Amino acid sequence: MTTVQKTLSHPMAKYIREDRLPWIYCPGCSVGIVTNMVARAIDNLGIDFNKVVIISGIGCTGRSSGYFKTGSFHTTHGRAIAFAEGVKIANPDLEVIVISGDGDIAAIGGNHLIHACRRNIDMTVVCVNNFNYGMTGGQFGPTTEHERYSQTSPPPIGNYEHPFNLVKLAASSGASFVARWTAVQARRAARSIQKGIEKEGFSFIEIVGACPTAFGRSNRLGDGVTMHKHLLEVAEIQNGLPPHEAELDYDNRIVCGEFVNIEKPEYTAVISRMRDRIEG
Amino acid sequence: MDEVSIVLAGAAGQGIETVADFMATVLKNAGYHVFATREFMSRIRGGTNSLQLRVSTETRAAYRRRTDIMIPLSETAIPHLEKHSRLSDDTLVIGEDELVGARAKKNPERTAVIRFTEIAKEVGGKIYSNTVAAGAILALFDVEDETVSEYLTGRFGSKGEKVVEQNKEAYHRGVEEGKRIRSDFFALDMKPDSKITGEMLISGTDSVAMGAIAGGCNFIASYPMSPSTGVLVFLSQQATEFGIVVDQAEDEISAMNKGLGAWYAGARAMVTTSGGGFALMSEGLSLAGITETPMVIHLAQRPGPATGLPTRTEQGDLLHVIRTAHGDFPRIVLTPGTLEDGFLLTQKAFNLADKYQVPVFVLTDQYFVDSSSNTPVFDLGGIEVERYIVRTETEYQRYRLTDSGISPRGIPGHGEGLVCVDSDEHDEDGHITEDLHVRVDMVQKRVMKKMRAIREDFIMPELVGPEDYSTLVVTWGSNYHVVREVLEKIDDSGISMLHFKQTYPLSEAVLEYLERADCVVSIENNATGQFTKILQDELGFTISSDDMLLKYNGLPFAVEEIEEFLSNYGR
Ligand SMILES: Cc1ncc(C[n+]2csc(CCOP(=O)(O)OP(=O)(O)O)c2C)c(N)n1
Ligand SMILES: [Mg+2]
Repeated sequence: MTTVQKTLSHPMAKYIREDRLPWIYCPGCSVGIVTNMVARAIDNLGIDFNKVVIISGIGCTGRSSGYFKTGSFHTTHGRAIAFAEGVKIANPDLEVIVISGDGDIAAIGGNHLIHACRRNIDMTVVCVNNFNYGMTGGQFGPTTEHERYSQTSPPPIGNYEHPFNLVKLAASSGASFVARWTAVQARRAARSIQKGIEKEGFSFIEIVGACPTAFGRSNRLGDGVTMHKHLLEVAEIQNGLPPHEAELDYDNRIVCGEFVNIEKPEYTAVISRMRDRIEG
Repeated sequence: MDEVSIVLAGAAGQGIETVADFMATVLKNAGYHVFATREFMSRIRGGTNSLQLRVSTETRAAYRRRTDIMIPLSETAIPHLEKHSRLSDDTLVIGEDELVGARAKKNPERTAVIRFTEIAKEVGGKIYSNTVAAGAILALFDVEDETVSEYLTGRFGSKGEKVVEQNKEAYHRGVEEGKRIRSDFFALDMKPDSKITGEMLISGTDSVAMGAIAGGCNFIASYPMSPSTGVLVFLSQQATEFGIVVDQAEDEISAMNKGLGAWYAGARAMVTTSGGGFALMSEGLSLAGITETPMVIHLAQRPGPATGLPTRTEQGDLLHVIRTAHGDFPRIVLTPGTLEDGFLLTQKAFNLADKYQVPVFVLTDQYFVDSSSNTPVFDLGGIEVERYIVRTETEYQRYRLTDSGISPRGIPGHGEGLVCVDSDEHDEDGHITEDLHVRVDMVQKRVMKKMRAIREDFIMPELVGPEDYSTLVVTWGSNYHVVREVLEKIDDSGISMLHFKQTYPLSEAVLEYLERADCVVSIENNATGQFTKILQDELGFTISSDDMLLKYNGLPFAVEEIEEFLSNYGR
């Protein structure tokens, strides 16, 4: 396939398992772009592949871990962060990165997310928010806006529920680095992921993406190109804005930028300091 | 020939489902028996998937390996079927030149090139190529134009007249090609039966969801999980019509507890899930156990452990549903084999749950829920929503000790009494206790006494075949049709099937069937023969592992596999 050829000559190809290609993703999906962002961030930092573990849950986004030429663990649905905590605690020298979907991280895995933020354990969580459960055919999820249509919130009523704003959730739960970008802001997003990896503490980066096959179709948002163009139009960069003002209104305004970047004690570092103190 | 097996194979997103739905609906309306089953990869686009459509003059509602006609829609389609021995030299392969050209050279007698896409473009666009293909196939049968017109108008009417007309034209162009196939390759002589026309064409998912509605379900709390999501989707689409509250929970732990809360408050609730999701419900299941809260759980199995094979089939969760959750408490497991079973057993599950105040499982699998066929319109005659809620008196005790073990169930706000429930061990008032004598009374009430009553209400298995069998084939759940079909074919072999529609708990009455046979064999879609363990445990009846046919590659049994296995048995 020609797409495979192209990918192989891509500068990030060295991070990708060629034998796993072609990608499973639908045309116009954002997950491939996000995979590239993470590869770029690792590349910019020049970290040893052997020291990186990419962990994901279940979902379309969750499938991304299997494409990386790093250590990878495709966990069960919702458990990526909890599993990643175990990895980081057992070997703090590893660079732990979680890539997963909005459902995986904020619905079934929501509890793990807020508690990992609170503990400020060193890892980088990249959450692809495509506003629905893509893999299971497009049901609404914890980030689906009120009255949006989905397989389980059909017209004429749409979604009864109200969405989480993931930036606000992570910030108020105690994460030490929080950013949001759309899938079209690849360079800025890669830089934030890079900062997240460098940060000693819990870093949360939301990437607002497009799922033309499910969410896009149910809500007549056009194909992948149209959806990504829209993201570019409504993205509004506001670096340093207080996180509680980082609004996400899909049709009109998606506030992007880095909203939290603070210093606070990191969980595994605290553990080893405490141990040192006792062993004195 | 009284049946034909047609297989479409290609990538997800190529519209296989749409063509199959078109063909199956039209053929059913024309008076043929139809059965459609699909196997697909866990991805939204791409990969290689296949759909088998069996068209017949008798019920043939099972997967079979033999393919009479195949339409490849992608380059990987032919190798995909070959890998699973589903193509032979006799298979007629119909398709675009670039997909079937190589085979045409090797096997010109059984390969037909049709330029679906080119024809479609002439009609108005590439999108019509699937309609052309459907026309080519439908031409092999006796289908009236009107039946097709009606379908296309119903299906595409909302997209405007032009789309309907172009589809009709694409269909007719397909029919012309099909006539050529009919004269050159394939003469079918299958007489339709007008009785079938009035039947329904539904899937296993539909049967369970319709059964839930007939059982008085008015609340579903679930978290999407293949292959069980269809029931949630069906009920959310019917929510307004039937007054059902649909709650899509943030995970299965929540779904289960919402369901229990709803029963406590007087609703008839269910959850739909698969093995991994049910694993998260086991704490809630145990809560249902000690609080004697009714619950209906639809679990559509897929191969595990963990995420396993998300879109494939297996009967690997029987022991999971019977054994899971801490502590001793009764439960009932129902395992439908036909669409009628799916409907009736799900309906009954609500009544049983309410009557005995226990969790009731409807245990299906991917093969069952994702396959569809014609079935007579369900008879609603004997169906009743049985409600067991009482109006409470001032002195009401939720856990009153009774001879039957069933304490009349009140709900808050209905009567003078208060309904107090506790997940700790409790007394008759429903309040926490550490009086260990009360503990013993409560265990005897909710476990022993209720279990006895539940066993007496056992749904007997269905015997298919002669009463004077020498070999008895034990099956449960979705293996009903595949075994039945083989038994019909090898008529007079002395082999019968005992199909369990309730797999737990069992009644001793079953022993009479088992002991009458010279040989009892078991067929299960799992690696360890899970139901034979239940037979052993519940009835002390042993089936030797030599007499088990087990399959665990993620696919359902094919007719041919059952034939081969059973050829070793019988007279
Ligand atoms: C315990 C459990 N429940 C449900 C599922 C089914 N399931 C798989 S992926 C998924 C949702 C995926 O949504 P998201 O995390 O947003 O990822 P996306 O596919 O949109 O990238 C669900 C519900 C599962 N695998 N396990
Ligand atoms: Mg998602």
